[in-house]
Amino acid sequence: MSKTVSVISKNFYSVNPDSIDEYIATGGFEGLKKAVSMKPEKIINILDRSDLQGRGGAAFSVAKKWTHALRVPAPVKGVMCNADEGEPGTFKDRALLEHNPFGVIEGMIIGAYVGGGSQMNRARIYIREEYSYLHDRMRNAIRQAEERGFLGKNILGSGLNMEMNVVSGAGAYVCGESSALLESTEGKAGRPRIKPPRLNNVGLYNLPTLLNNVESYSIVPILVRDDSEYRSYGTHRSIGTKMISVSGKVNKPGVYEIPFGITIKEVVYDIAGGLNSDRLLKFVQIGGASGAIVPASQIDTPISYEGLAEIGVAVGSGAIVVADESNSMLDYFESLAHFFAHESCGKCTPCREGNRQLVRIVELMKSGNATSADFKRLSGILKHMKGSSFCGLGKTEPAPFLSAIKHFEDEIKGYFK
Amino acid sequence: MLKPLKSKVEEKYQELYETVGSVIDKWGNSRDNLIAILLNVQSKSSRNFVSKEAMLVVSEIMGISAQEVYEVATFYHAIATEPRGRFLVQLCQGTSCTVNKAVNVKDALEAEIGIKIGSTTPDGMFTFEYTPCFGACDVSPAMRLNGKVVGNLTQEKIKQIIIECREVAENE
Repeated sequence: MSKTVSVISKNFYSVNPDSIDEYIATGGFEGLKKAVSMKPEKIINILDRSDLQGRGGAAFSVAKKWTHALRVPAPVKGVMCNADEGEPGTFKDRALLEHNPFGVIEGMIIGAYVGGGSQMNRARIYIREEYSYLHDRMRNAIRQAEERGFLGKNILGSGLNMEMNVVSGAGAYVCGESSALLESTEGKAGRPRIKPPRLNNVGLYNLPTLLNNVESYSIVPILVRDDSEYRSYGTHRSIGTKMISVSGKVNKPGVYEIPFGITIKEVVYDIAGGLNSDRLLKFVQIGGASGAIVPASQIDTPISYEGLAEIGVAVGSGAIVVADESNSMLDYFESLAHFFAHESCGKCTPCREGNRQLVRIVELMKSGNATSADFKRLSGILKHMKGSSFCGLGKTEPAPFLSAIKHFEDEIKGYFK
Repeated sequence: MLKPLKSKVEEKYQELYETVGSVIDKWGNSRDNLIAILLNVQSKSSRNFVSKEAMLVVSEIMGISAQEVYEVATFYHAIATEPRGRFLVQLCQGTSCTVNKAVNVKDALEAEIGIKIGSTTPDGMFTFEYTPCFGACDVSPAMRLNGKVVGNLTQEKIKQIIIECREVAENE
């Protein structure tokens, strides 16, 4: 029996993503139609009932975020969709943009209805440059939505006004951070802003701004239309389903929708077809490059907010990268260190300098010249980066290093003289 | 298109002024289109980059200081400020590609193109570099060839791709 489900991914491969008619024929925009007949507070209640948490990785309550948006008074507001998805190992938003573009747009319009202003609200979908082949698909979907009156003035007679555009990133991981994403959308270098003010008060073009991830928006229309199926999945404390992307040493890498509560083992062996080598599983990394390393001994852990929290791991973006015994922790460290050093925006010292030093230490490890003093330095740098970096990039980056040191202490210490 | 009176930049780089001007006209002269404009200007360059002269022209037409244009151009990985090859080969250095041994692919590409990673061939045909994850982990090890994803790389596949690139260049 298949362990995957299809609620968010219901339209995948069955609905033509370039045709609004096909989307409507399968119940598309029913969520929006129902939403505009309801009070915004009622919609927030529905989100709250499902305990929907931000699916970009930060897992902040969507209902709380939308409540705040509703309460901030302003005639014009910003509505942003974060489609930057730069976490290595993560490609589930890519699948949603590719196969369900209208669902993303519908979720954003409901977001504007709940938290928007009375005049022309500005909506932007920020899609990474690496997905440039999907920009035109989204632009086409926006144009068709405009033609049908789902965008523009007085949407479905609700009094909501909204214009929407696609904005391209240009290859910068840090732009997945919400305020850096806004800077980039405004045509500047994507460095995070000082907070407060939070962007739900002062965001895009200084407007109060509602910002969510592609997956979060995709779930909203489904919940508003009828949340019973979605709520029938998951655990008591992690309701519903999650889009995950599995890659690395597995037979069937790809994007899957799973109910919360199935184990890492079930994902690796039953869904992704097991390992593609005759070696044993060594570890998986959960939640993207800044996610924790989980050793093979812990793969019976259920994938849910509470299940993973018990072993000190976050759901993150929903990426699962699988490594076998042929993969050394040193190679993995090298990939991570180079990635973060390349992507640090340079604004704050702990992240900028910390990353330079991480690369140096990894290079010393590779050349066999790392000493125990370097190991101490490594631990110190990670601690400082976690505690004092300016934004989430530097703050979360130490997680894979620290968890790897915890679970593979002997191997890692073996790289230091 | 806005034009300052007696523009020295226009006098000096007439052709570039026309090209960049048409890009800015297409997107609209607004600061929030700067990144799209720079990407578009880059795509029109035969060497796949945004030159200092092009940045000056963008700065003048859009009324944004040259320093700010330079800051944006150099911040983003997808915008290059140095000339690149006719074919841009970008090998992913992400975690999935690492566990699937992208290092073997790197060695094969170096042998096939004839240069070390991080450089451009003397004839300007290829630039070969590492790139951060571009979300094609399901087909790792993967690379981008002039922005297009090529996945499940093997030595044979690489050989074929590089031969095809050379054939395309010969027929141009």
